[in-house]
Order: sequence, then structure tokens, then C-alpha cells
Amino acid sequence: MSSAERVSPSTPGNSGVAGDDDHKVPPVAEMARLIGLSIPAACMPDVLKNTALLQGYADLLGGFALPDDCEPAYEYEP
Amino acid sequence: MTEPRSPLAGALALAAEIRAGRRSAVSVVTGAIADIEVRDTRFNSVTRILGAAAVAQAEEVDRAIAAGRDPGPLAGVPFGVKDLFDVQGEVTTAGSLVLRDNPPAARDATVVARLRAAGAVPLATLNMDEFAYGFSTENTHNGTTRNPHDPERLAGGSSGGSAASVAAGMLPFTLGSDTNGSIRVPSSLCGVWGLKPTYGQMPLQGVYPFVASLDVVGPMASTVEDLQAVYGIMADAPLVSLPVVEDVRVARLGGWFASNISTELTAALDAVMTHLGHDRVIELPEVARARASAFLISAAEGGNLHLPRLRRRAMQYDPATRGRLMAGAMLPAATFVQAHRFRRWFRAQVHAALAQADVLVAPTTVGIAPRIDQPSIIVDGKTVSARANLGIFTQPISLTGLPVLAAPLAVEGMPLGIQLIGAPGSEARLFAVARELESAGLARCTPLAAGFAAKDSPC
Repeated sequence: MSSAERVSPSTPGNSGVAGDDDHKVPPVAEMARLIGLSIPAACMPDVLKNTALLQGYADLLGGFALPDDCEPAYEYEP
Repeated sequence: MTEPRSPLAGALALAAEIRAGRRSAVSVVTGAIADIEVRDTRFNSVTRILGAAAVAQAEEVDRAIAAGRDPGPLAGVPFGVKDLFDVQGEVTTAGSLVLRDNPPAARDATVVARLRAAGAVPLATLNMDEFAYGFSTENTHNGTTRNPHDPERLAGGSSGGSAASVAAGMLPFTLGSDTNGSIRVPSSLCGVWGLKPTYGQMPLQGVYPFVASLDVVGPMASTVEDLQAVYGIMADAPLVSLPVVEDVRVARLGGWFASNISTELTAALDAVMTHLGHDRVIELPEVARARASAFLISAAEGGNLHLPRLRRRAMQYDPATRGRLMAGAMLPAATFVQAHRFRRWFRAQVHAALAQADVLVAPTTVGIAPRIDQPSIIVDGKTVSARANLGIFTQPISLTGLPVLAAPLAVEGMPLGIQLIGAPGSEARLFAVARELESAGLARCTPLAAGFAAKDSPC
């Protein structure tokens, strides 16, 4: 396993979100509007932080190529 | 640090006393209530004491014994439930203000009903991270649950009240839920036994959900014998026999699971493997992505579950939960589907590993419980939040749905724990290994004082 794989993306849980990955932060206000969610201003910093955290994990996961016949595990049996 | 004392009795021993008429169920239950009222002021593990209903059920148990009827294998034994299990007549809050105006539960959760039918007495609801979304049991509404072995430290979560009340000796067993490690992490940090059964095995009727793809409920207890008995009753399928431990192939997980752990934990793992006589090390592939998948699935499903309420009542949520749920509700479908596809892929890798070994041994956390005033841990040289990262060794296993028995190691000082991971439905093998570790003195739970077993209340 490479060290790049071992390190969690953007140090999950860190209070700081800023850094080189800032450009990856999704347009939170637009995304919220699409699902009918109004984010109070007081909550926005925390939502931005958590959205960036999830984006880091999504990038990590998206960097792995799965075969086309690998189906989602919606009906999962351990 | 509080000096631990020897446990006096577990659930089965207590039930034997009551069934034999040497103690009354009422005396045990009222004694447990008094003990919690006095001592839980230090730990904040209990959110509600179900006093009147508990005493009434204890009276029923005593009447059954007096009448010569079988009161059940757990006759008169008090227990607590994480506050997301329905208990008839009580509001299930899931640790939140948001649900407090809901009507009381019309009936017990199925697993609670099974335990009640076995004679056990629901005595308390227990603290948790709001909606089970966290590893620390820091709850804005109910306060932080403190570790009985050092009240300046976290109990872990999200079933922190369940672990702490057993570790304090206030209850012989409790129920918790585990989505990403919420039974295993607090069990490890508080030094109690815990079981996350195979995904899909336990009925979830009457359990407030968090992540449907990952949620499991299970017991926590002060002895492995009690853990097994309670598990069998919850599953309505008692384990009548265990395999011979020498026939169980054990391997240690390396790679991700050998990194970032304390020296003391490494030494304890070495001792466990040496005693079991196995030196095989297996490295699972892509563990970081497995953890990421569990994280993303949890965020998306949890966020979707709460989206209707977040639209209307966001400010009633715990701030630590609200932002995570909102972010999860907005997760793109492409990411969510990819995580579920990865889960399918990772399942195949894990099953390949389980072809080489019956039980996989791994640490539960990187080290001892973090301090409450410094709720962080070190991962890959970086300081990260304990609330979000205490589960780095449990989340990848959650993705697989495998059964895991959390074993408290017999170490000096603050508790440490390991995970015994098995193939689906192989709980009996996990118990065989756990019992061996307990009998060899390598694993043990040492409650502070078994207040529920104190004999200060005559029949």
C-alpha cells in the first residue's frame, strides 16, 4: 500500500479546511438549493468544512477504477 | 485515575442469585437505581432512569419465582439501552432534542422485548452522540459521557453511555448500536466486552436508524460469558456450543491496521498472537478507500434520513452533527453509487482473506481514550479530531458487514482493546477465541465496582 493511499484525504476532521484543495470545494449554496435546503449563515462554515472533507474522500474513492460488472451493493449480504 | 476494583458478579451470576431466591429482583433493581443516582454524577452515562416501570417488572419477576414459574435466564437483571432503542412508554430521542416531542414508543424494540421476556429489566436509557453520528459521546443536549477509568478522558462513542455504565459497574450489560464502530470504539476505550454481530442478523425493529446499509445492534458486558448469553437472547438463537479454539485459524491484520498504534498496543497484540500460536499476517488491500466508502455512505444515508427535518428545524440539531448531516445530504449520487460499488469489490477481497484465516485480529483504536479537553488523536503524524477519526480501524470493517467481537485487553493503566473479526455468521468462533483470551488472562473487563451486585439490600 502506498503512503498516498494510507493518508486520509485533507486530514479528515481537522478544523481547518483551507489549503491547496480549496478549489475543489463544491458550490455548497447551489447544491443546497437543489435539494430544498436552506443553510443558516451560522452553519455555513461547518457545512463547508464537512463538504470539503467528503469531497476529499470522494476524490480518494474516485481514483480507483472498478470493473464495469462491479455492481452497487444495495442488497448487501456480508 | 480511579483505582479499579474486582468485579463482583456478572449478569448470569446475578440472575442465578435471584432465581435461587437468595436475592430479590426488587432489591437488585432498587439498589442499581440508587447506585446510578449516586455515582453517575461523575460519568454522565445515563440519560433517564426508568424507575417505576423497572420496579414493577422486578416485582413481576419476584412473583413468578414465588409462584414456582420460570422467570427466565436473566431474571431480575437490570440493563440499559442506548437512547435509540424503543422502550415501551418512553420517547426514543436518539440523543437529540429534535425527537423529544415524539409520542412514547408503543412497544419495545424487538431485541429489548426478547431480553425482557428472558427476565431482564430495562432500567435506563444511555447517552450517545446525537443520532449516533460520532465516536466521542460529546452531546450538546445531554453533556459529555466521561470514561470511568479516568473521568478527564472520553468514553468513546457513539454508544459511550452503554460502555461507561458497564465499565463503572453500574449495569452488568447494555445495548448499543454500531454503524462505523460505535460499539467497538467505546468498548475499547472503557475496557468492556462488546459485539457487533453480522450485518443483517439482528432485528432492527424499534431501533432508530442512522445508516441503513451499515447499522447493527449488539450487546456490551463485563464478562464474555454474559456477552454471549445476551447475544443469544437478542438473536433468538443461543450459541449452544463453541468450536475448539485450537481449530480456529487466527491471523493478524497488517498494513493499515499495524500503523499509528501505540507501543503498548503493539506489545499486547504480540502477546495475543503468541498465546494463540499463530504468526500469520494478512494485509487487506485498499483499506483507506474502504474507510472512505463507509464514511461517504454514512454521510449520504444519514443526511438523506434527516433532510426533511434539516429543512425545517436545523438549529435544533447538535452543531457537531448538523454540519455533517447537511454535507452528507448534498453528496452527489455518483459518489454514493461509487462507494456502494467499491463495497462490492472490497467484500471479495475480504472474503479472500477469510479463506486463509477464520479470525482476523486488529486493534480497535490507535491508543487509549483521548482527554476531553484535548479531543484529538495522531494519525499519520497529523493531529485530527477524535470525534471523526477514532474509528479508523473500525470503519473499514463496518463496510464489510462482518461480525466483530471487541475484546478488552488486560493491560495496566487506561484500557485498550482489539477486534476479533470473523466471517459472516461465525460469531461462535469469535466467542471461542475471546473465551480463550479471557481464561488466559490476556483480556478482561474490570468494572470500578459492581454496584448492581452489592448485597446491601436484603430480600
